Amino acid sequence: MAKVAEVVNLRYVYPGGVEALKSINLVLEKGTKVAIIGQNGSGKTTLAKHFNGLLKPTSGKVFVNGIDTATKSTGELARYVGYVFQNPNHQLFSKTVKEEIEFGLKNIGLKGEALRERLIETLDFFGLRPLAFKQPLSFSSGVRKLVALASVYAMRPPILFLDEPTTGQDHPGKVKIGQMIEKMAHEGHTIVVITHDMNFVSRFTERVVVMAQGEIIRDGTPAEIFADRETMEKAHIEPPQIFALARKLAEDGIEINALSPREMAAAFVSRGLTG
Amino acid sequence: MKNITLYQPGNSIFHYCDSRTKLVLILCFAVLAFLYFNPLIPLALMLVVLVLNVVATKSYALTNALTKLFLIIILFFLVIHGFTNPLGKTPAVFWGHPLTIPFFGTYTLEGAYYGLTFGFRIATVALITLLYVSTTHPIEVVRGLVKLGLPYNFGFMILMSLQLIPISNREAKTIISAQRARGLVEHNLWEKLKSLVPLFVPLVVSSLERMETMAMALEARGFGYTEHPTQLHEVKFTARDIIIIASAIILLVIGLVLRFKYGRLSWIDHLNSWGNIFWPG
Repeated sequence: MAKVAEVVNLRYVYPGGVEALKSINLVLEKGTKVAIIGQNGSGKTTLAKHFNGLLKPTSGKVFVNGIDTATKSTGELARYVGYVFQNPNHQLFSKTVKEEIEFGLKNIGLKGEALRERLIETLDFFGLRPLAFKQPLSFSSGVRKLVALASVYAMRPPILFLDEPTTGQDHPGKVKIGQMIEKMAHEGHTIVVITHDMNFVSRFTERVVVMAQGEIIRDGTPAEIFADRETMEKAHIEPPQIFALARKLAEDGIEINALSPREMAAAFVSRGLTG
Repeated sequence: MKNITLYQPGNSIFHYCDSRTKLVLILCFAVLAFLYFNPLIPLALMLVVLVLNVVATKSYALTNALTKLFLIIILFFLVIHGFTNPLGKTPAVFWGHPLTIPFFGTYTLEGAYYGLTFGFRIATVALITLLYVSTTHPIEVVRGLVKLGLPYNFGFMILMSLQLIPISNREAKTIISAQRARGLVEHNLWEKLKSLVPLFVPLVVSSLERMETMAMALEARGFGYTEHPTQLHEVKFTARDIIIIASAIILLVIGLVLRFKYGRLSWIDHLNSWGNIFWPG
């Protein structure tokens, strides 16, 4: 697969002297859904902020679309890397959803018909068309999150970072965001989710990068990662319940690798364990 | 911004004394500085206050921006008043020549006298106030003021806002990052001005939301149940405070007595050389 971003030997030390990242190497591929997980302070957000130039490497390089991010400002990198912050209230400021979405588009220089087209496309993509002329802050937190997401996705960045997209969301809200992630990845965008929500990770992503103390300690599919007890303990992560159940069953001699309750149930049935 | 207040931690006598004691000091020095009309006494007072500041906060007392600013203001007064003060009669001599600026006039000794007097007076008051704020933790400031009759809610409000400044600061940084990530670029002044809207709206909205939450959380914890809540830390005068207050008041009384007995101690009408400004000739 084509790579859209590459991190080479990235090291980052905060001005206070804290070494937040130690020698990170990572390649992001086109159209994939990646989750970065790890404890608070493990360096997830610090790493993510290097992709759009909010932070510049202390040493090492970060390339996005072949561009060295140290040479460009965040504003200029915005067309290549979208970044949706955790709290939508930190970015919504316009009178209407329409203007909110247009803000980013104008910033990357779209005008006239092209802007209108992109706006309508984006509104339809997120199902926000009926709300286009409403005040973004008048919505529930779930819809605000969608508006924030739409306002960044409108710029069609090849890579899109979502910082804690599910915090404060109810189940339908999470599912909606998950569906949007799938849809965006289907369109060829690389989606990177930084999260503590392991159920969300196992359900909506296909690659998991585990970080601990400024290093990537494991990189693989959700099934591999969550079944790896040692990694989970090292990163202080509680895997989704389905994996905990599988582990308990494995202790009783029943080996089942399932990512969802449905798969688990199917495995029970196919092995005749239902009686 | 590391420090949002001027408070400098330390363990000098001024750090340990009651904040009200320091308010008395401010009052005494402010009155003393304005009692007499000559540059000598305010200069002496200013030097005393500078020494007190050094005792309290060591090198900070001389290196901080405010002290420097007030010393510069004295120079400024000296120059401006020298050329423009209407009391000016006697031209000052610089290496045998008077100094004249067209449209402003000649530099006069009376002007210099007046400028120095005011410069030293203002610097004295400013520096004694600096002593107060640099040795008193904001919490102590508010406790003292509440003790002096400031409504408790008011004091609480001041403390709350002080604590919120760093939070809002951090939030502002997040918001700037969030908008830059949406392609906001600020290359020139016009773009910078335009970028204020996307920064301020979220900042104000989130501040208001936080205020509301905080107000509810406070009420849920019984804030406002009584007009006179008991203090967590009872503020009391100690022997140290009494000594400081007593000496300040004695100084003030002596000053007042001399003032009534000998008048303003002004020699502005008898100036004839530079040396005269600091000592009656």
